[in-house]
Amino acid sequence: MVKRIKSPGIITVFFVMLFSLFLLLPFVPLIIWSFTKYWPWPLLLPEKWSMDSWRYLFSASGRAGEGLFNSLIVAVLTLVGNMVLGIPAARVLAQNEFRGKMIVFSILLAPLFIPYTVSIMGMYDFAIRLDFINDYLSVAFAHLIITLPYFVATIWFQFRLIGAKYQEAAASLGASVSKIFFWIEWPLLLPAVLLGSFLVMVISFSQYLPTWIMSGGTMLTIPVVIFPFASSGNSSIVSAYSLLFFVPILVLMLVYFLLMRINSRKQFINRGEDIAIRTNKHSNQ
Amino acid sequence: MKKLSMCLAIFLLFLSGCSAGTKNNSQRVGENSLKSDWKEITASAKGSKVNFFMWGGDEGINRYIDEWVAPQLKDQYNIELKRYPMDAVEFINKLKTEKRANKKSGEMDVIWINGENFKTAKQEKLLLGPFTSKLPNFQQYVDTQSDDINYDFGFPTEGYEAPWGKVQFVFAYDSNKISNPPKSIDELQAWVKQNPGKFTYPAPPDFTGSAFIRHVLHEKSKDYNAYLSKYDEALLKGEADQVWNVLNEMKPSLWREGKSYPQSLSQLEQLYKNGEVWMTMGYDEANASNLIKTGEFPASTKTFVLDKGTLSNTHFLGIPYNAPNPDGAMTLINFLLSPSTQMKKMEIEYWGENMSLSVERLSDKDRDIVESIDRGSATISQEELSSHRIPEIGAEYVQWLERGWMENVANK
Repeated sequence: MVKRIKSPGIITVFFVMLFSLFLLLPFVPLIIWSFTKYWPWPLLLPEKWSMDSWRYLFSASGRAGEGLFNSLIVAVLTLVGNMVLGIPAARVLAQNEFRGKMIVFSILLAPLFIPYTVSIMGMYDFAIRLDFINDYLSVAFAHLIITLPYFVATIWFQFRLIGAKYQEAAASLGASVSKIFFWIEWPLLLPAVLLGSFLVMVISFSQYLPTWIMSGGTMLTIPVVIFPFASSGNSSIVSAYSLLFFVPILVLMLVYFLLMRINSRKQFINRGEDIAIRTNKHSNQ
Repeated sequence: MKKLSMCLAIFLLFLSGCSAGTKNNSQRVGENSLKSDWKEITASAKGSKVNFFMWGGDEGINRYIDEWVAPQLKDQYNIELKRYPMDAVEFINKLKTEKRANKKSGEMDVIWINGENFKTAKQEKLLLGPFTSKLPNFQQYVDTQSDDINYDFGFPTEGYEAPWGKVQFVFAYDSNKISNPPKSIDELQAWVKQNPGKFTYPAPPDFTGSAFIRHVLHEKSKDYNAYLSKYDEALLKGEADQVWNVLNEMKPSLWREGKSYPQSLSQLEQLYKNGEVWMTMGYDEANASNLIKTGEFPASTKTFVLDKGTLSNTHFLGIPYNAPNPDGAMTLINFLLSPSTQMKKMEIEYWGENMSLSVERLSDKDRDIVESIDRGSATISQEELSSHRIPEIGAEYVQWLERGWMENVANK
């Protein structure tokens, strides 16, 4: 943990400010709109404020709780699927050489390049045949297809950085494969797993079409709940929903940073300074 | 590893087992329901769950279903109602796919449809069958002889859908700016000329804009009733020029000299809210009152109909061919057609929409209640609305007019 104690230059500060303004400004009208029904153009601020949209959101009709809950369950299932399928896949791709490796890799990444609508159409028929499977699982399955490339790419990169040296050393001392994975690779992999998981959950949260198709419109995640209002011209409700949509992502972000912090501290205590610096160097590359 | 895959296989089997048990054999159930009598239907619907698929873009309508209808249905029939927000086009497409894949048991019990959607659904056999004759409330309170119940945009309903409500086209204006609103298309034309830039209409094929140009056709046509029967392109071709003339004469005095039109009703309403135009319109006589209540429209907004009448249409409820719970669906639809449920729907508190029941068939007490319902300050009286009602024309004419407007008005 080497910290550079040097105050940032004025240009850095300026650009950071500009960038955060660029990111934060769109939220200002969203917040204002969610508290008013009527905000005509030349007015700087609305004349009448109301809580109606927020009250609606948390009423029986608004389905805010249900939407959040379903989104979360689906995202967690998707994440579990990614862990089970993605980590072994990334490991093999990073550590082994075999015929047709590039083909396997490009198939794994294919959902990134193939236009969305193509795979969706196929999913439609598939969904009807898979009707017997619980909705949470089938929706998570569709999300898995979409998120897996991001996850595999992130983990693959970290496996490449770790290399094979530690594992070889451990193996020569007689450690089993599972021991090598849990004691050597997993701790070194953790920062990438956290980042990948964050990506997976955020992407899963924002899926509309796959959710709709796999569940036949009955799985009310947040995007499915918002969608009918998007075209209705009701800016107030749409703004309130959008802000609600942002909450789980904000929470995820906090969890991500918290876990990262715990992770680096734990390594620092458990393994002594030397390794900690090395792992940090790895994760920062 | 073997153990793990065994566990997984058992888990999957378990999952398929529990969901398959709840929804099978529904095709047979559906046909049976159409044959059984009302007592059996309500008895078997007890304790079941009904999935209601409907457009979900309006707070008031959603709240009416979730906060008023659902608890009442639970109390009176012990049926659990679940509303799913979905556009009609989407669930009709979903039904088409399910039909192609020969899916016997779907998810939807009741769907909210009308016009084009209903026509597609009925022609492609996506609906369960004629069921309205089973519903006691339909028999007792609906005027089963009237055209607006038996035809849906010129297409015969034949009991495949039950009328849920009626809406009528009205114009809205700000009474602070206009004291004497026009009463005909001719007067409107004159008014537009005197007040350039203060009027416009959404560009067809927008639903509202399309309805607006049909009013012009109605006023200019020699025999409007001819459009209610079979499609005849020659008839429309002969009279369409007069419609284009009126609209083109209006054009230079429209908002932005008619160089651009609002693309949707919500854009037109935005212009009205901003005070850029002084008039708006809509296929919902209570919409202006609703928007005054939420503070979006100025309180001085009033509505009017044309002397020769404005279009009105009925919207309906249907049951898909593969409804998992057709008994529950019929019980729900019957409940939605009961006088108390329909009167609640009229209140501005939730929806403010007109009932599909015939007022003459209600009890004296209910009729008094209907008259005392507060439909909002901008909604005109029931008598005035119903005495100025004109029927919708067939969907082919509507589409022809929409295309014609693009060629003859927008691109000129």
